[in-house]
Amino acid sequence: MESVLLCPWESAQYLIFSSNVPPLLYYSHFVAIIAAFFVALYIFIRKEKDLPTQLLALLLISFVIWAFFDLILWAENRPEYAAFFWSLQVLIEPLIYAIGFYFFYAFSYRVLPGFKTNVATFIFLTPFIFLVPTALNVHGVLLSSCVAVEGSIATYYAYALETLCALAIIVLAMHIIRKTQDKKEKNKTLFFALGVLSFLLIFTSGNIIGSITENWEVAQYGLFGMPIFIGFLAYLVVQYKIFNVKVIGAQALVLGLWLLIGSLLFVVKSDLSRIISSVTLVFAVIFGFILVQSVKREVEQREHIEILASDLKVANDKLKELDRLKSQFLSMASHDLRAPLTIIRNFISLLLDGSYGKLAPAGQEGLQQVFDRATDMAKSVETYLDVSRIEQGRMKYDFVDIELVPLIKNAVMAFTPNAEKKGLKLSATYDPVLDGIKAKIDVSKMNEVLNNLLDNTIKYTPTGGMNLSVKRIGAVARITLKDTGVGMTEETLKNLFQLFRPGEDSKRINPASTGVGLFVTKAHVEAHGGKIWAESEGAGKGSTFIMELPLLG
Amino acid sequence: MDKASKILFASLVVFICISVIATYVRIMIHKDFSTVDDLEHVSAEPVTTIPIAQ
Repeated sequence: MESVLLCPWESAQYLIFSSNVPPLLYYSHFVAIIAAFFVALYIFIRKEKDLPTQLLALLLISFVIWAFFDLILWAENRPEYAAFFWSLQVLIEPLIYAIGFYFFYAFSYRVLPGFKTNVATFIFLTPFIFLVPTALNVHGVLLSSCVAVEGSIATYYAYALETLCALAIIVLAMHIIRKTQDKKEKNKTLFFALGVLSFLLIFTSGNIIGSITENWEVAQYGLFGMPIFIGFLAYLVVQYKIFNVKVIGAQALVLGLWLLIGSLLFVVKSDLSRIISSVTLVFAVIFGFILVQSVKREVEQREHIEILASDLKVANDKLKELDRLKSQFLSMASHDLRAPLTIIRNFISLLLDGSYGKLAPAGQEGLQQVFDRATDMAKSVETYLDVSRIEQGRMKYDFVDIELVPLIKNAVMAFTPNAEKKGLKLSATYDPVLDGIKAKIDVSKMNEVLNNLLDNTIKYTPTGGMNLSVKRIGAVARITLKDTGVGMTEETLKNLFQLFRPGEDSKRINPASTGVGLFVTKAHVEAHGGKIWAESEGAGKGSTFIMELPLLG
Repeated sequence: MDKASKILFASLVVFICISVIATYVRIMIHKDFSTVDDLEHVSAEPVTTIPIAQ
């Protein structure tokens, strides 16, 4: 007849349920196992898996297996089960530490460690793995408690490996903290290192103390430290958006509901109650599934929007870079054109003056045309240079305190012949209260502004005339230039002061229009602390340009 | 990850499987371990073992 030696308590049911297991142990282990299992499961079913989260899932699954073996060790009264699962626990512990190190490395660098580190891991772990099945690991079981009698592998080698991994994490964390300048990055590394180390120490603390003191009762309290690790995971969720909290929350809620209703089936006695519970469970399953799916969809949509926003940012950065290159090109091209143009104009001027001898009248006329076009070109080049200076923030202003009205009067006088030549009437009215009132003005830039406005108004007014009025409104002088010209559509008005956006109407009347003049005008006015805008009732109904400049007195 | 590292890790996984099977065979099939009375374990060196009954 065969007799079997057993530890002195009743046999375990389903490996883990036994009177030998303190209720507190179920609580500490089940909470940790369920939490870790669901987080790992979530990572596995997730579509997008990156390296750190994959390693985290591996870490958690290993932990779930370890904790389950721990429960078996407490519940089983068969010595061979104690010896077998004890041996496997000894095998898993250093592996969890190694995964913990790889997880920390991958989270810090986003890649796995190099070949040398992998070789070191291989060299340290291989002898240990091969020695686990031997009597050097577990060679006996104490019959009174089903606690294994450990050999040197379990007592020394495993703990040495674990200490080595913990030290590797500490050294790596210190290295990263020392190298990085960013305070946020330093904190992140510190928090991660503490989180991973806490997790590793928490789950082995019971066994370490048990091995040293032979008091295994303390092991049941070890996993109560798991909330620290769950807190660490919560930090990952919030700070680095590793998991979708909403989906996890919905899944946990639905699962809890299913378990609750499902457990009723085992508790209730009457058939009617069972039927009601079954129907409720079916509904809970269907609606729970729909709820989780809808939350998932919403989260996916949000993720999609986040990806689009990120793409948009990349495109925006590219556009900014292109804009910078355009300004740089404009500046270089203008500089290269300005010098030869100046020489050409100087020599033509000398030819026209007769410095190289008298020219035939036809030649004189032709040369004058060349000189005028060269002058126009020089002005354009200067304007493009202004554009590049404005865009690069290099435009310099030389402000002086002068009276505004005489400056405007001079400009109007200069353009009156042009207007008359075209059969237009250019009139001006000045508010007498502005006499003697000064403003902070860069004379050359303000002349450029007035010239641009007056030149435009004459260009785009085929018949009738224009009136310029200067009035004081509070602390500003308002200069209004109203014409009976071609007017502007709403679309033209919207882009009027933007660079290289000449309106369709202006291009029809003036094909050479580049949409640069008003951009420069606006920049100059704003540099004076003023503002400028345009109004028009529509095409063919005239335009009004209004400019306001701050006064000193 | 480079190919050599992949081979190392794959080898480790194989070694772990072999180790688990070997442990199972040694303990669960051959019952190659001793059952120890607590008092003897605490008081005596070397440990006196009771062969497991078959």
